[in-house]
Amino acid sequence: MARFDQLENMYDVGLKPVMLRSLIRQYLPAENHPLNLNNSCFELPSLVSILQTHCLLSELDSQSIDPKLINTWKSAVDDWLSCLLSLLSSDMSDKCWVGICLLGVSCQECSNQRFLSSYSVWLNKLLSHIQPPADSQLVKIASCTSLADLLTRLARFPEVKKDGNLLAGKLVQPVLKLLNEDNVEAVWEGAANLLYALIAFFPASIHHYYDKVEAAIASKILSGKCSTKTLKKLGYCLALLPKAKGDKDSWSLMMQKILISINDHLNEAFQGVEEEAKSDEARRLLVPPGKDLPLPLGGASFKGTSSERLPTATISTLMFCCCKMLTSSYPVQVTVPVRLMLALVERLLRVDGSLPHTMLPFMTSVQQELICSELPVLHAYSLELLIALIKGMRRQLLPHSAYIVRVVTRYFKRCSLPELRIKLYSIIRMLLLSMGVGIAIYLAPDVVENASNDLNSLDGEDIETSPANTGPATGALPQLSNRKRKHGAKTGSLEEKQDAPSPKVGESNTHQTIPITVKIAALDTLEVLLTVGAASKSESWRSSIDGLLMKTAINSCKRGWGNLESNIFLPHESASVWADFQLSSLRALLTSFLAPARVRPPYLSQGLELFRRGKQEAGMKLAQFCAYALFALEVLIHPRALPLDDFYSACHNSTDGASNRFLENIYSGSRKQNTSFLSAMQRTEQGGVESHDDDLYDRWLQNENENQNKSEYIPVEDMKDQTSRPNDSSFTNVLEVREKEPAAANADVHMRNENEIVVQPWHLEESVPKSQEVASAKAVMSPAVGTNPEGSEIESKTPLSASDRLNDTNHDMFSCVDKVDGFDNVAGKTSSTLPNAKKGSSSMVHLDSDSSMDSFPGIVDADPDTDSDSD
Amino acid sequence: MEMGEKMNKEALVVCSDKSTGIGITVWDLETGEQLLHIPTCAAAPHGLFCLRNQFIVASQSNRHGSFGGGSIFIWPLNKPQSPLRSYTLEAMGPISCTKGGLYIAGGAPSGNAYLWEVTSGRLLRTWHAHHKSLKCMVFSDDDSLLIFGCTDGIISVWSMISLVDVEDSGSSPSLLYYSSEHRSSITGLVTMSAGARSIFISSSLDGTCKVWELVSGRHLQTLVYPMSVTAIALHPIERLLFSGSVDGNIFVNVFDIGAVEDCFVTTEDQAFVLKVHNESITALTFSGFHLISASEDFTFCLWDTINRVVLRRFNNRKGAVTNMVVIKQSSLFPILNHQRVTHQFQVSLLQKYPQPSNPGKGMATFLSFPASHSKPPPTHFHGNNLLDHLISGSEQEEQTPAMLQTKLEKNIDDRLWVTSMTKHVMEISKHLQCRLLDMMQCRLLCNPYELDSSPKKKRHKIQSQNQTPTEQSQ
Repeated sequence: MARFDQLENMYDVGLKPVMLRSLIRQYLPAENHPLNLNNSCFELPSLVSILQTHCLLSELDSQSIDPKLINTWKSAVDDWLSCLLSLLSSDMSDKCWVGICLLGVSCQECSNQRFLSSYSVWLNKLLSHIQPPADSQLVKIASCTSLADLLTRLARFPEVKKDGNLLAGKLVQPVLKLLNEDNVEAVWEGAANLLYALIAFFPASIHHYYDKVEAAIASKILSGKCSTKTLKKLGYCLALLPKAKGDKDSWSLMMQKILISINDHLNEAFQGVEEEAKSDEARRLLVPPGKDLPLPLGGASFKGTSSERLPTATISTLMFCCCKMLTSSYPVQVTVPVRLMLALVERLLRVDGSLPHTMLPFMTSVQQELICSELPVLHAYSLELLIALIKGMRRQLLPHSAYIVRVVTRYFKRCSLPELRIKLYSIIRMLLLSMGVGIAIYLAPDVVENASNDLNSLDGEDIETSPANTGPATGALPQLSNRKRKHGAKTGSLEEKQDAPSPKVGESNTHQTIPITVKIAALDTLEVLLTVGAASKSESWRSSIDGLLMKTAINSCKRGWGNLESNIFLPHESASVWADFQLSSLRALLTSFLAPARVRPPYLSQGLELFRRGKQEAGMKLAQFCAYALFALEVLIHPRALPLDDFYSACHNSTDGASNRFLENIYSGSRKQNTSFLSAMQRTEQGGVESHDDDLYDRWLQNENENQNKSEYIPVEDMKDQTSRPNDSSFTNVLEVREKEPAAANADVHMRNENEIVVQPWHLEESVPKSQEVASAKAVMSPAVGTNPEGSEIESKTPLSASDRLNDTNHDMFSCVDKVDGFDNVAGKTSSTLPNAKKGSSSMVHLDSDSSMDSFPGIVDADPDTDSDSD
Repeated sequence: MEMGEKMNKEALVVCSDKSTGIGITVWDLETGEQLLHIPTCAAAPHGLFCLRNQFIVASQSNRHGSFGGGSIFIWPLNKPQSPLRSYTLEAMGPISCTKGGLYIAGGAPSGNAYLWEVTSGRLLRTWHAHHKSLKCMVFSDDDSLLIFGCTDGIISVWSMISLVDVEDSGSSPSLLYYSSEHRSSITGLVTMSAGARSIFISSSLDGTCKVWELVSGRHLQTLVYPMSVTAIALHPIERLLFSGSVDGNIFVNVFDIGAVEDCFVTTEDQAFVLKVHNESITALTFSGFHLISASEDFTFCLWDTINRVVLRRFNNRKGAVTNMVVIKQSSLFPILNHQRVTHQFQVSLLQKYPQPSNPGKGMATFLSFPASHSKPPPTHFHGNNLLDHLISGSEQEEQTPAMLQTKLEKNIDDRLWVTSMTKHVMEISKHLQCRLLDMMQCRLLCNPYELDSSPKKKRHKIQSQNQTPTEQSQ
């Protein structure tokens, strides 16, 4: 026993054996005492949690621990386990059950050594409880669970793989027996758990029983008589089953069998609501002519379904199975029948419960009602299948993406059920993210239209402004809305959907309020669209979307901030749905600010206000996001052109005179003009950042606040755009001229080249000043420019007379003209450096400034005038 | 350790278009030694690329078969002796592949374009894209658009989605737009991965580089050079544009699309000039932060762009280098060193003629990412509920501490559920016991004068039912 000296604190290792022993005393019934289940059942969870939090079974083998202590601990664990084993062999099923559960926990918690030394004993013990003499359901379930735990732990030791496979092989038949012969659903579920562990971790053990396992699972699924949860577990096992063989063909065969089975069920279910031709066509695709029909799923045909019920559960489980086959990994390359699956999806989505004319006489209203009530579930699963396809195939889906776009956009127009719309939105997000801007072109119009409709419905907001109200209104939906919890959410929501009243799918949602979860999905989708495709042809919708997002964000925040902490009395999702909505709207707003556009975001000031408020007032998550938004917008408000360290530092280090001169040019320019590129240079060199940025900000604020100011800026830009073309052509004319007179110039080039092969570029610049005068002189006289420089000077003075920097711009213009000219007359090579050198001596403003750009239209306008004058 | 260093080193693949005898040479950029030589290859400019870091693909310019067709060779880098020789209907000029290595596009001198799926080798589409010879082509960064440059200066941008559409319903035109702003042959196309704003740059013999918005085709900027531009490359950080000209100069421009969106011309007054070649630049590329330039003068140079000096000058004695590709040296090693090689897509012979697509036929693919596959399951035990984890999770790589936490809670909940079920059963039996006691008491104390209420009658019934088995057992 442990010594009863003072324990240091709760981390003291000495505490652990003591605690373990007292747990044994307190909770584990001695052999001859009856189990006080009333107590222990309540306390079992707390027992487990104590075991786990204090790692009581871990037997940490650390150097620092006293060997005596190790022994004490070891013996305590020994006692614990022997206690469990005695419980396990007890006749009382309740004791046995407790022992099995705790053994499962011990499998997870005990040390590696102990596990490896005793796993086979434990496995055999547990195995005896799922074999025939055992009769208690509870014990069977618990044994399955504990065995699954044991196998999982075992799978982490690659060195015992072979032994593990042997042992696991012993489990397969008992499990199949449970599935086939037991008639309690809970036992099937437990068996499915164990089967999963077997297939996932010891596929080799299944290999011999492959067909039997398939048949057992298939019969359960095709009978459709279990709960959705159990069916799904079985479906998952079926999806993983091909891994047991691990080759290409068994995957394809399984997929084909499942698809054929789905198809057969659908043919039966859709009798009367779809044209006969459809089902024939699907069948033809599934089994290529000349090939044999594979054996039906499970080996023999099951026709167990009653005619008055639709086999929805079976179809949906099989589709779930397809999804899992696509999204779980497989060791070798497989061939996915993409076309077939897409055809299946399209077929399902096409059926909306309306009756084709030819079928009218044969259908009763009861039949139609039946179909309509089940259709949402089937639609949901076909969307799931589409999602799985996109996930599984990724970029390879490209040849089919046009088809998917057609299916999705067509369905978007008709789909009005909230949970289906949410799924559809998430498909669109996936498509946008995986296929990039190319698909944004096709999807944008529909996304914008639908999202605008969803977000514009005001009535929804008025009803659901407070978290308390969101509960009932969206109770059935939120689980589906959350992408992250997809796995957990699936089962619950589908069950709910099955109970939901049958919707009239064809009806439009004119009077429906749009649930908040749909709005969240719409906002998220807009966000992704802006991220991926804002650069695409977005002019038509961009401004309206920006406005809409601003409006939505303001509306979402005008009644205070939502709280993301869950209220224990409300279902978790509904408590935070309002805060989720706020978060989504703020995120979309930030994206709309940051997405590339040609004008300043018009609502930036309001958005900033919102973010600032949120940062101070909102709860943790929202505040965090608002802080991030302000952080990200910083770059937009104060454009940051960081210095190109490697590029410029080299120039600083250079001792060469010419390159220093070049730098001076830049600085002289930057002092006069506020181009961001130059300001960055100044920042590194002079630290004159603040004044510079403030200036920029002030100017910008003017821009923002005074619309008049802004409208002054825009026409200038437009003018430039318009004028760019003639200007361009004049330049290219010039260049063509150059190409026509190559001989002399080229000769010059070659001469120079031979002299200067290894000379560094800046050496060349030294020679420039000498030729500078020649160049500028020629520039004035040259006809190649196509315009008389003096003429253009005169012309350009008039439009620019308002400018304060008249002289600068004129100089500028000259330097530009010089340059173009220089290309023709001097060797083209030197001319590029010529203007630099020239400016170096005269410290002119160079071209890369706003005002100098403004002068360009002047030149261009001058062209035709001067021409006509000379004419 | 030495191996690990070697893995990260880069090598340069060069080839020429003059004669097949020159072949492909792989150079070690650091030591300057030849790592590999593959004979018999002469690729047209822009006709060489590295596929998935494993294959060298080259269009053969000189190899006209008896029918005047062309060919594309694919060499596995770790087994260069056995190339895949695919024969095409026409001689191929420029070729290119998507980033994921799923599709290969090729352009012919006739202006026809070809698009193959690499895995199956299927010729997905051929179409007449231009009237003149195609000069170069490049996929957008997200592989969703394809850009062609033509000898007549026309640039066209095509949507991959409608190009490869299996149904080809004609609902959406493949050609997004075209532009004929360049006055002379296009010599280079470069795409930028600048986030949402997709941009590409074209260079032309007319002495300009133009900057375009990828999707809308809006012309953003023109850079004018004194000479015809024959090759361009972007610095890895995308702020410097290197343009090689016909006289051997390489101009270096600061490339600022954010600030000068409205400038229609930026002149070269900002440009530095790198000068060492004395004949036309044929290709530019980057290895890390080092520029590599190749020229007609039979040499190619490795530059330190910071100090603007040539670090190493290579001489390709047999002919001018027209194509350069930087690859990882690790891809040259034989298969033994690659354990993940099993999870690579196969590469098939590219088909000569388009074949009707078979709708029943599937598409070969790998499910789930290879990375998650090669990773052994963690041996450290996390103490989560394995059961729940297995059934719901299934994706091993998703195991974050938060998830473990929630699973732990779930575990306890689950056990609690079982517990409560049992407890429920126990309660029922306890209740029955109580009643039994109650009734026994009742019977003992029972006297006929007491009022018989209806529940008691029931109780009597229950009691008698209950009692009979007990009595029998006793």
